[in-house]
Amino acid sequence: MSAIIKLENVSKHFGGLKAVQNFSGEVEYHSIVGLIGPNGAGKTTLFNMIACTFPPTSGKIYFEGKDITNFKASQMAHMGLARTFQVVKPFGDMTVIENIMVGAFLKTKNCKVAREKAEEIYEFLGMTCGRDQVAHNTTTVDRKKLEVARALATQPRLLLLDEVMAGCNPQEKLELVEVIRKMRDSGITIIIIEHDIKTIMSLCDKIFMLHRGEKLLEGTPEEVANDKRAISAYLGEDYVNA
Amino acid sequence: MKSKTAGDFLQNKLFLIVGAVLLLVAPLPFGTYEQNILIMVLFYAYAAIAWNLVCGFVGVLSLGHAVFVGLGAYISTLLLIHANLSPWIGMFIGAAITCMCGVLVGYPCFRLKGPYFALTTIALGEIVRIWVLNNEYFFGIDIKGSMGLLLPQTGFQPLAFEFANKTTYYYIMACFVVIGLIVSYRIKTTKLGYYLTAIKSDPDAAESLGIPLARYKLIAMAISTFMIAFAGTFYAQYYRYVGPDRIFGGDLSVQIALIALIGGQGTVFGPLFGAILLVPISELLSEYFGGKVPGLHLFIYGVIMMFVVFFMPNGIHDYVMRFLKWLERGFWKMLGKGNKKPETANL
Repeated sequence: MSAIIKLENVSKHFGGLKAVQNFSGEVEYHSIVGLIGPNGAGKTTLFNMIACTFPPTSGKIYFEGKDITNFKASQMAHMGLARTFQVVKPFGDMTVIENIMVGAFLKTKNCKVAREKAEEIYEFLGMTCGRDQVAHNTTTVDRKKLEVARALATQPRLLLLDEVMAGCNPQEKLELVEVIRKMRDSGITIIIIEHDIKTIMSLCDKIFMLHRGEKLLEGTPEEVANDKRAISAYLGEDYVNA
Repeated sequence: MKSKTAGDFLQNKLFLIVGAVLLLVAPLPFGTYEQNILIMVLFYAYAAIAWNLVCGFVGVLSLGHAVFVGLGAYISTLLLIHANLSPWIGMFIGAAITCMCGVLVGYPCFRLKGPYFALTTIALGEIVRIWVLNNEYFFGIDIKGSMGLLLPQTGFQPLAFEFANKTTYYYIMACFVVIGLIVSYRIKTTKLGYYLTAIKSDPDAAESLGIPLARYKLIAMAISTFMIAFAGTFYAQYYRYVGPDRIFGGDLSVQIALIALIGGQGTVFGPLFGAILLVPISELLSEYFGGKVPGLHLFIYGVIMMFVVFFMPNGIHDYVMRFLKWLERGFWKMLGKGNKKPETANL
């Protein structure tokens, strides 16, 4: 299988801060790829570059073989990429279903079609907050799901999930894991940032581990779990032999 | 007014029909002074509706929209004076040119956020006003500078947009307001409206969903400036005079913005409610207090406005809608039919 997204020596510097350095990697079609690393490792920065929120300082990014390094964020949605935000950004004054409809309008002009699509996704994600609930009255977990719903409504081929499970209880996490698997089975490639290692291990086909802006590890969950460098990055040198 | 979409909107045509009837009979029992107030209510309502299309829906504060009123007024008037073209046609040419200017102004301005956008639009309004005030000619066309343009008397010809009685002007403005409301409603309930509301709520999220921010803001700006130019032509035809201070001035810009803000930004009926509340208050206050204590009417007007802003920061729209719903329930209860109607759409 070929790669849906390919990064070549991507770096991002904010002034003197080197947020991401020389990151190279590929993500294959129909896979779930995890992006892990301690806080400040550069995971979200990497997401922002893939989603074209800002361009990399150097390096190239290819989406389905096309150079998208200097594309705009709005163009990427049309190319088939959708993302969620770590700090949720619901359209507060709109209802839940209207929020999802805004995503669905990417593929249709018709209000009725968009509403049907939104209803479908609402059911698919098993959302329970109420269709006509105004978004800023919903709970944190519902807003996380709303982020996913809105992104999914654009009918993407690649979905970037930025810590969607933070704040969820174990039961909700299990539900989300199921949903993410279902999305993959329907043909969507998924890159996911997550801190819950247990979840990520059970979900991903491949894991990238970032540390201080550099790619520390790349491999299957087992490979990463058994690597001493991963333990030292998270817990410090002293724990490597513990 | 009785279209199907309008019916869906209130779930029940009762209030639209009552509103339409009120709109039709309102000027009949009154003399010219009260009729003038009614015309001003509709004029400001229409201008605020047009303002709301870009500023209310996208959530920016333009304090320079009088420029576009003025452009519409000057273009149709100059065409009438120099080319003897009927304002009925001239207003469309005015609207088209104003629309282009709106897009040209919007292109750089929409890159600015919050107070910078507002400041830039204030500056724009002042620049245009002062320029027109001090220049007699614009590319060889006589625009009379600070004197302003007096419209030629055509002897009350309907084709020349000149009428003997105020009632006709009233009904023309009423048509504009109805069209404005329909346009607002159409935008609000289609893809464009959803996109504009999304941009207002969170530009970053909107962009990530494939919405090109600049393009949609400019579309809204184009529609808004196209519509507000007609208000300018009406103003010129009604008062038979256009002058830079009156029509390009900051007063008019602020007045339009305030009416829409107090009425309810981003709502369909908000600007209309705002105009119905504020315009008569300002007219009646200056009528009763204007001659007795100088400035008192402005003081009271300001106090009323402070109260509205303090207690209803999102405008009076929601409160008026709630009141109307309460009235509706009472009405059906009185008829013994109970309330079978679903909740009114929250627009």
